[in-house]
Amino acid sequence: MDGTINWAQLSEVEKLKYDSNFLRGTLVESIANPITGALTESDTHISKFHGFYQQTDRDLDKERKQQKLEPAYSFLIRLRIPGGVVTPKQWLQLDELADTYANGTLKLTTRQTFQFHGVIKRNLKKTIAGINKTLLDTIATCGDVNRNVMCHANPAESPLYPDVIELANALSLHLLPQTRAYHEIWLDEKLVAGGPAESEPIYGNRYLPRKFKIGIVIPPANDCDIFSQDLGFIAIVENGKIAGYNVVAGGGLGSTFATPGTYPRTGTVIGYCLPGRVVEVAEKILIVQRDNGNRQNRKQARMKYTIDNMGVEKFTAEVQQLLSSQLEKPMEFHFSRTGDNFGWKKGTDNKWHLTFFVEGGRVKNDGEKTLKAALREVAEKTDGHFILTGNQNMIFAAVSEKGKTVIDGILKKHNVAPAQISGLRKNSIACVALPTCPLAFAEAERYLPSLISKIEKILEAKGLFKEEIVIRMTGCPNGCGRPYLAEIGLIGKSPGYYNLYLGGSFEGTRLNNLYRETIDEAEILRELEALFADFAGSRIESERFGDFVIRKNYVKEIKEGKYFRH
Amino acid sequence: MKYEPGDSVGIFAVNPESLVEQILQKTGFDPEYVVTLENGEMTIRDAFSHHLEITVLTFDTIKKYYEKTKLPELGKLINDDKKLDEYLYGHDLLDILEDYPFDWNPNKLIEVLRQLPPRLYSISSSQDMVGDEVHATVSVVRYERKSRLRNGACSSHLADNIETDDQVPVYIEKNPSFKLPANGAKIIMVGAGTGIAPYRAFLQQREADNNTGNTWLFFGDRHFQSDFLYQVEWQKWLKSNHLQKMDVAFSRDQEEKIYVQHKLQQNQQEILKWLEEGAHFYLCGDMKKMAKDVNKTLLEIIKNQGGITTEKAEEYVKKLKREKRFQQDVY
Repeated sequence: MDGTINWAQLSEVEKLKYDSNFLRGTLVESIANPITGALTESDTHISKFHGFYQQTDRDLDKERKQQKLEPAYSFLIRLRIPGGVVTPKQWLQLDELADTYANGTLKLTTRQTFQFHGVIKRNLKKTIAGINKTLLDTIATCGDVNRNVMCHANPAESPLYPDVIELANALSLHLLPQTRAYHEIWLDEKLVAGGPAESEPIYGNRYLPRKFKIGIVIPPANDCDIFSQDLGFIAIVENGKIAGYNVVAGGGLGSTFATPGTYPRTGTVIGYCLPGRVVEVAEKILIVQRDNGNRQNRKQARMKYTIDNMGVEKFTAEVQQLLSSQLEKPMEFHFSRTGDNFGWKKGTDNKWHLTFFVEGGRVKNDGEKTLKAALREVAEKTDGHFILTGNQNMIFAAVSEKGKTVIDGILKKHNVAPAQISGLRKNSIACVALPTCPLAFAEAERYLPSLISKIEKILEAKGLFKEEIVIRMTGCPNGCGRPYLAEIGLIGKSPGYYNLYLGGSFEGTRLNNLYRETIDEAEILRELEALFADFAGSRIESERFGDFVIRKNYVKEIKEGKYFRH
Repeated sequence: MKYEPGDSVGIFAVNPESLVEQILQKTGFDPEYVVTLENGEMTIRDAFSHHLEITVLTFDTIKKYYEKTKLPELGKLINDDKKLDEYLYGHDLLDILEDYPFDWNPNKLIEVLRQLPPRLYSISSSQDMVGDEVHATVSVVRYERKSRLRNGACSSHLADNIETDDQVPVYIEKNPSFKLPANGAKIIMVGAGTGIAPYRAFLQQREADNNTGNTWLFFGDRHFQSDFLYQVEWQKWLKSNHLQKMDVAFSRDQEEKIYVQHKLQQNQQEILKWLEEGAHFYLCGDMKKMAKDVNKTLLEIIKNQGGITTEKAEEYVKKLKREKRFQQDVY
């Protein structure tokens, strides 16, 4: 097959992957080059498969240009932590790495993992080696491969939690690239001369056409936003056991402004399988995407487009053909929310679990609120462990009665004890955006908290302070913060200006729709004030805001991603 | 105005206003008191601002200060070489006025002070690239001592008082002993800090002459992130091969201090090879700290790589100098 590849037709990244010698590229040389803090252009693509992105501090770009200095390059490093489970020891080690090599903060992501920001090139190897010392790694957390596998996060909510975390680990391991490039470059593993030729049995030497995301949920929780995943598994519980999983394929949120034919899409339920077959199903679906995904245009390469282009039936038929036995008919399921249930809960394991709100997922010390120090201290003293949720929050999991008191004391001491926060803030997500994300058109993480404070005043006036409403802001339309599934979505257009999207469902089952284009803060507040006034006055009993705006025709319901417009 | 790569530009300095005011206050001089200097009559304030050296002390100044005052404490200082050296470093006229008080009158004090000399900067441009412009690479001298902020006479004047399009009196100082080889031969350039300035002129010239390869630059400073002077230009020249090789040493980016001489050491074999192939060796920058070490390192390289005695190596360096293949611009 390789001999017949028509490179002229394919996206440049395809050739880079093919030529990279199983993801080695020229990373070693790039890292050693002392004249620049950057990688070569081609290595910036290969580096993603190793778990890091090249970025610049955009706040400094102009100043440095005048100084005849290159941009302040640094790297985002993302960890692979299936299901977001972290031991206290690992937390301490990662906390220290953040101080030593990164910008002194930890970012909890929307995929249940950590990101380090601001790692400069000469510290990359030390940081990645340091991460591996904690027995975690960064393999395949970016790039055209299966990314960090998500799963339902809260042991207190379901006694079946052990099943899904085990499955998340199995999927992650099974779909891990097989190349030893990572171990050679970062961990000084020596090449074995004369060994068997390297191969990627699942991926092949061009890997996937684009990123691939997998999540597992246990209804009624939809904390992994299952319809946003390329591939989702919805646990179907019968008689207190997971009888099997519904298979959801073709979710994905990224889209591009002014590029028709790019759109967010909610996944389609294509069948059902027994627990023991999940790994096989995942592999075969990934292979259908591998062989049918668009490798010419990266903006059309996600599996959601493959499915829409082939049609759900044909896509499913292709999958069925590769499977040892057919997918069965999907089962009924019901979701209640995408967000996290905050507070202490006792699980069926008789242990305590505290779901803890972390604004914007940023773990840092901020004046009197010394969150980073608090979590360090918890890590030192807890008899449980940590779980990162898919909503940039975290759980202090499996804590004893005594440990619970200890944690409460620590949080209070550091002025970060759970406070009375609005239903809006509880359900907020912001992507990183400026200053480091090269894709961002506008602020998100640095801005959303203050915007929410302003919206809260309106909510309070309308008696809606406690009303749970999902709000998500991203600096660009690529969708890291899953804004398209929010009841209120704000997507950056240019500094200070956002598109406002309404009508996503609280349960994460429905895309939202464009309501206002390119508006500033004053207009955002004005629009929301009018909407909340009507909502407070004419909602039908416990009706969710996202449902309300559709019933009242503020926006039309988007039934399929391909009808979405920016 | 005509200049060549390697030449310097002389810039007339203006002393920091705050220092002038403090000296006037300390001495109690009437600022409008008229004195006569070589260049004519002027107020003492004007003399301190534009015509007399007040931001640095020289041995000569201290000697004259002693001759006029005969202060025994100062006599002791002058006779102690080590202490005198220390005092000369980083002290200014106000310091000596405060440390060795004396009842001065304006006419007597101006006899102690030397004329404010223009500051020389290695030109960092080639006229073939920039036409009527002259580029200089100026590091602002600013430091605190005895809880008083000290400002370099010329550098702080340029940084604080001069805006784009303002006029500054300058002249060209020719430097015939720091010149590119006429034949486009190999060149090894070693510079630390603003010592990189003439090499930018060299590279601009090589680019203007469309002369690629045969250039090797060693640059040192403190931090990669903030002190990599002209970084994007070297990158551009590396890409176009006007600059063939570049090695950098950032001393404060790791625990152990790494300087340019360490980079030279790491490239011993290749350096001797270049010299044997006729390379010219240039050294520009701080005399005290860097030049000494680089000279020593070069000698060692020649000795070790050439497998010859120290005497022979010294002879080799002398020969390089005689042939104008080892040129230094140190300050």
